[in-house]
Amino acid sequence: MIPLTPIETHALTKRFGELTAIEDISLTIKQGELFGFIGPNGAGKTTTLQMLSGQMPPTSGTAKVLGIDVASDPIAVKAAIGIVPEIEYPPSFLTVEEYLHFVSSVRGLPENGNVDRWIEFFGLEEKRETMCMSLSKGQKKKVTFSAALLHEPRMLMMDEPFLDLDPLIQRKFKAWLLDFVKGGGTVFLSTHILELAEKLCTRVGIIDKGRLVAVGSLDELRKTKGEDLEQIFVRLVSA
Amino acid sequence: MLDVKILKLMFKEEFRLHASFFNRSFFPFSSLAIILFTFIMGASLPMLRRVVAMDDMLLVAHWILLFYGLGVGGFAMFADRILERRFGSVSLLLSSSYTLPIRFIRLFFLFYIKDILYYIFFTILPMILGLALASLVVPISISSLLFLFVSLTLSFLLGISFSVLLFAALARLRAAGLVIAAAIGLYIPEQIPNTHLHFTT
Repeated sequence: MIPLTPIETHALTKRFGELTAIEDISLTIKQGELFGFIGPNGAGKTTTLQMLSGQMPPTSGTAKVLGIDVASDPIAVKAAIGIVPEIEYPPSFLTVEEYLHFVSSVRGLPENGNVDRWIEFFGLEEKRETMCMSLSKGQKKKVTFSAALLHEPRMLMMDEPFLDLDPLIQRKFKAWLLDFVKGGGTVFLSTHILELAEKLCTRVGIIDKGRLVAVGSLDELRKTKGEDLEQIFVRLVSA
Repeated sequence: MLDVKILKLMFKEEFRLHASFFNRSFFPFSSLAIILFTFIMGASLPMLRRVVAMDDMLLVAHWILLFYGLGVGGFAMFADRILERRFGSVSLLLSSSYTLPIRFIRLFFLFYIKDILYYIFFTILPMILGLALASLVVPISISSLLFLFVSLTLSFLLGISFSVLLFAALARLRAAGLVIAAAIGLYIPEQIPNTHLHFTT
C-alpha cells in the first residue's frame, strides 16, 4: 500500500565542506503527481534528486520516499523507485540484454521478466546484442529508462530525462508518463526545459541557489493572467 | 547465486575491456605470449643460473608480481577515469550501485575477486604453464611449479590488496591513506636492496 505522501522532506540540507548546495528544503509531493523540479544550472536540482533517491545522504533534515527514510535505508528507496539519472550510462562492456538481465537479477525479478517489454517499447530490438559502448547517447538513455522501469515502480525520479531522446520516443514516453500518473504513479522530474514542465507537470517547485523559492501549480504561481512558466521562472529567479 | 551471476558478468566485462584495448583477434594471444616467454626463460634456466643465483631470479619474479598487483589495484580504483581518456564516456558494472538496490561495497568486493581470478587465470597460470612446458626439456619439478604458483599468487594478492586498501583509505580518510602510502613507500625501498642480485662470472 503506497502512502498518500510519496515524497516528504523537512529542512533537507546538503553541504559540501563550506559550500551549502541545498538549504532547508521542505516539500510534500502527493500520489499521482507529476512534479516538475526546475531551476537554473547549478541551482541544486540534481543534488536534491540524488538525496531523494538514496544516492547521496543529506547533511541534515529528513526525507521520506514512499514512507522510507532516505538516510537510514537508501537501498530500500532504490528498490522501491525507478531512477533515471542525467549522465549515468549503462555499463559500456555489457550488451543491452546482459545489462537488463543483470538489473532484473539485482531487483529479484524473474530472469526475462519485463526485459522484452521495455526493449520493444524503446525500439531496441536490433540492439539487444550490442555492447552499450557502441550505442548512441539516445540509445544508452533508452537502456537506462528500461532499467528504471523493469520492476514497474510506483515512483520515478528522473533528471533531465528527455535530453538525448528522439522526438518519436519523447512523444511516446510523455504519453506513457501521463498514463502512469493517471494510474496512481508519482513522478519527480528535474529539468530546466520549461516548456516540458509546463506541458507535463501538475505542480512545479522552483529552486534557486539551493533554496526552494516557490511551489505550486501554474495557476497558483501566476501573478497575472496568462503568465507562462518562463515568465514566472524569470520573475521568481531574478528576484 | 546473484553474486555468481555478477561475477560472470564482471568477467565478461573485463575480457571485453582488455580486448578493446588491443586488436580483438590478437588479444587471445597475449596469454600465449606469456607462455612462450616463460617457456624460453625456463628452458634457458641452466644458462641463466650461471650468471644469476636461482634465489635472486625467484625474488625478482615475486617483486614483479607484487608491483603488477599494485598496478592492477590502482587501475581498478581509477578504471573509469583511465578508460574515459581512452574511450570517452565509459561506465562499468561497478558503478551500478548508484541507481540499483545493491551496496557499493558488495559490488566492489566482487570486482576485487574478479580481478584476482582474472589475473591468476590470464597471467599467473600462463606463466606456470610456460615453465611446465620448459620442464620437458630442463629439470623443473612439478612440486616446485606448484609451490611457485602459490607464492607468485600470494605476491600478486599482496600487491593488489595493498593498492585497494590504500585507495579505500584515501577515499574514506585521507590521513589514513597517506599513512598507508608512506608505509608502503618506506617498506618497498627498504626491501629492494635485500634482493641484492648475485651475478656470477
